[in-house]
Amino acid sequence: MRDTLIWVTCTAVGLVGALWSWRRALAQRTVAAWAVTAAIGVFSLGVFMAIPSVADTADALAGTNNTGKIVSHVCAVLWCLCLQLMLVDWAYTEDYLMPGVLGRIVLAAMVLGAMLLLFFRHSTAAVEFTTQYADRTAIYIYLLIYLGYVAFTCSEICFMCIRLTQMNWDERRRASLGFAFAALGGLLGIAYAVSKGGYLVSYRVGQPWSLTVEESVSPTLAGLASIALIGGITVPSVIGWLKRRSAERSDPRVSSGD
Amino acid sequence: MSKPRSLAEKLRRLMASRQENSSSLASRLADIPGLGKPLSRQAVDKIAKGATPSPGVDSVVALARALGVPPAHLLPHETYDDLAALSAFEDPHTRRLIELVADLPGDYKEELIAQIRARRDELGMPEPPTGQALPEPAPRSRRKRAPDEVAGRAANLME
Repeated sequence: MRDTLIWVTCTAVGLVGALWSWRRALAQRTVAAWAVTAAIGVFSLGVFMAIPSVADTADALAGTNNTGKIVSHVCAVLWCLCLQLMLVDWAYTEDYLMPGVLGRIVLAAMVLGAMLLLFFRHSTAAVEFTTQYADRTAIYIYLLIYLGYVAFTCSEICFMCIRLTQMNWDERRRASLGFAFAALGGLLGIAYAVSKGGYLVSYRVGQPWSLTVEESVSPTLAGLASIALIGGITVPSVIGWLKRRSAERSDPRVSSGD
Repeated sequence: MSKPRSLAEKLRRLMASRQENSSSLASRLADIPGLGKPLSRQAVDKIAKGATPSPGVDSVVALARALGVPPAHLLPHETYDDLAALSAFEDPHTRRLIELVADLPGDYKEELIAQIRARRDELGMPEPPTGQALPEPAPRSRRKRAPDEVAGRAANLME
């Protein structure tokens, strides 16, 4: 029930965020703006597929135990890729933007290729691609590849957003707070990867902590990370838009500039 | 007198003008026969960066041959910065001409220069530039934006 509540909330937040980002991307037309829109769109699909009843329905339709899981994981990788493209657009000059974008796409393709290869070779009705089956080497490697990529992306987001928070603090406080939330999201994402990955490794070395605890902590961390990230990169622009509208209403001479 | 250019700076300029990098130059060095032990990419890179400010004579001669310039050009001496003059000096006729002119009194030299200019005009040859050094290598385009620029771009998306 708690899982359902988390993922339904995430789906709702994702859909609202995707619609808002789409509107913003139409106005800004930058790689970063479209990447954020795609990221939140993909995220919404991924978390929708993670809702237990939806995942069960998908599994029943596909006749496997893992349809919802693989779709969620693929969406999570694509979500990470889109966030990386956002960072690339911010950080790289025009001359190096396309090579940077292509490099990130190739990396994500390699991660997805490895995951899908393991999935299609080892997915059976008897197993699920979760920490519950950490004793299966293929599932163990599959999850570590996935979690490694998530941890790498979240680290990049966290470090860059901390820096952006500091740099914008004096002059663009609202954006700065957004970066602070995004950094928190990155940090929670790292915690999610460490929680899940840590369980997998500890299981392998023979001293795992409680699976119940892991299955309770990890989704919570993932959900909170996603909400902090999406909130961080969308809420400041929503507040800015509301403030501009309010200013326009009180003084029609103020142009929207949006 | 301006400060003579260092070997490293001249090497960088020559590499830029010939669109060579350390790897391509090292492989060209390896292809030239009779140069002894070829320089590695790392060795070329160190010389170009000034980390090896005084490479051996063999290395200087090898680099000069690979780049098609007189070895003297790579030495740090103001007169040797003039690549066009040094290249002209490679020609035996030009050298003989210099030897014949060198000890003439100044007036005769100027008269000869005027005569040569007139002859060049007749032949429709423009006057060659004097003392021309290789241009500065074009600055590499930056890969990453400056931190302030990143902060501004990111904040624009946020707001």
